[in-house]
Amino acid sequence: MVVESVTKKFGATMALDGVSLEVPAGCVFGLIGPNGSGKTTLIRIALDLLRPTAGTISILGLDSRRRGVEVRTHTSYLPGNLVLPRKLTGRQYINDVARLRRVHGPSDHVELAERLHADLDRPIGQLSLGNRRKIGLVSALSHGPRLLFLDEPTAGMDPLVQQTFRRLVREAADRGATVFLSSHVLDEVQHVADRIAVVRGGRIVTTGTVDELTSQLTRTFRVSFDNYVDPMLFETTPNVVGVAAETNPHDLVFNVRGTAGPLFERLAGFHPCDVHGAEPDLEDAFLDLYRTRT
Amino acid sequence: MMLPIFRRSVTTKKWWLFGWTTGIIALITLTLGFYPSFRDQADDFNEMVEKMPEGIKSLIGMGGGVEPLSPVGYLSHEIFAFVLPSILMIAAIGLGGAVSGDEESGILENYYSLPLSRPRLVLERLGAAVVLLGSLGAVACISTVVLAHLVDLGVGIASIVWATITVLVLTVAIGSITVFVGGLSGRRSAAIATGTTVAIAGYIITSLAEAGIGFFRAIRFLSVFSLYNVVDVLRAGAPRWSLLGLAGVAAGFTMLALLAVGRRDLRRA
Repeated sequence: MVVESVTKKFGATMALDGVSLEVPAGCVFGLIGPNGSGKTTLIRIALDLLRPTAGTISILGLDSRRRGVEVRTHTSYLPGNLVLPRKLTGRQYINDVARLRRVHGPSDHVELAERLHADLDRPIGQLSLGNRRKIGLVSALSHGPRLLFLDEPTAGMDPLVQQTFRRLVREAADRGATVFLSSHVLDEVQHVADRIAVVRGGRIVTTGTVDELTSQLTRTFRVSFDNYVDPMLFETTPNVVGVAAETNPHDLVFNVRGTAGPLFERLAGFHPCDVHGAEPDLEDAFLDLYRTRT
Repeated sequence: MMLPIFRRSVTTKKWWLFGWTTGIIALITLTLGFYPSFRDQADDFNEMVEKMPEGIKSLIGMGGGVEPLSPVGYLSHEIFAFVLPSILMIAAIGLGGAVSGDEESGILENYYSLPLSRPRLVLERLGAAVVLLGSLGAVACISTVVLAHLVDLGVGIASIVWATITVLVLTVAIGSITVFVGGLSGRRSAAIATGTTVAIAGYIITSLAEAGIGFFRAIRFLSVFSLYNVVDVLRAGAPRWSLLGLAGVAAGFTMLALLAVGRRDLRRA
């Protein structure tokens, strides 16, 4: 999927402001951002549910606006705010979707439903939110779509189902499908996405792999020494953006942005007896991006 | 089977169909069942109605230059002038508004994300609505034919069939206006309000125009009821050219609805 300078205005509100993105085939791509940042708007434009004010989206080489029906034969979508027909059972709904997709022959939806513990035989109106989303997920994952749009996919699901979901996403990517995950719950994206884009206020703030994103972060190292070491001695060390003494005068806490190699080279001369580094996660990255770019 | 949206839109309305069917049979039975008891007082009643102002006669469905308790007059005034069109129009407006209602609720988000064009979805839903209305029309027609025979009304089957078809085309026209406004706005409330206004205002304009009020005669062409001359159909036992006009209104607004729904952003729940 190639997104080129997509802008979307709703009246005076700028929902997307010149967004450009490239999602490689076979990749699990996470789009993270707070509520109202434009994630769902981007997906809805890609599916031709919304018309962009400017810009284009091309999916599998096809213009998503002009050749929307053709594009949608290769895509599937789980909306964040999923509303399914209440009178139908999950099985009826999934079978209808299969007919509309003109899928004939055996379907994988029964196996998917078993793995997600989805109840296909009760009317959807009688199911809880989480179980309704399971039906939506089964429907989205069935019939081998080449590009999946999953908007807040695990909302309302228990942790065990979330684990199964991650495996299913990985399996879909291993089969060659591209998965476009959108979420404001960072944990949902962090463990499964190959690449990530952060969107804020309708603009892409940054893109990269999880590792690239975390390497931009301020990481914290707690270092213990046998004797007192003056924190001022480290203030000019490259990549060290802060150093402070702990309540124990033999411990120092270093804030490092980028590689920690220069710090470790400098520390070697002081014979530290213990080093503890806290692994940064995307939550920190996310908050960090917000703090530094607002 | 193909056309799954059409099929589901019909099959999920079983109880809806049962309720409306029961109501229509009950109403027609009640209305026509009383005819024998009125028949004996026909002269007195016709004389009383004759003295009413034209405007009142038109508004209560007793205009059109036919004696109210004659067989054609009774069938026209009691069934085809007001009661059956009202029932079928309420059903048509409800069905027409349901398309935008499903858009507002978010259900259509799932369907429009499938390889399915928006006009096709609307067309399948409209087709289902026509089938459901047609089923109600068939029930109304059969009930009327049977009751007319039982009370010895003396109106031919062809008259009743063509009158029912005329009512159906009128209601489909109103339904298509409802779908058009829903397609334009994506709002169920706007669609239903417009459909209802078009139906009620149209009825009043035509009635007052028939009463000879100048202003309403001038704007009569705005009302779909100006094409609905069921008394002539019952008398002739054959369709009138105005039926084509009604069909044209239905087809025109259907085309506009298909264009409108394809040209805008889909609303979100």
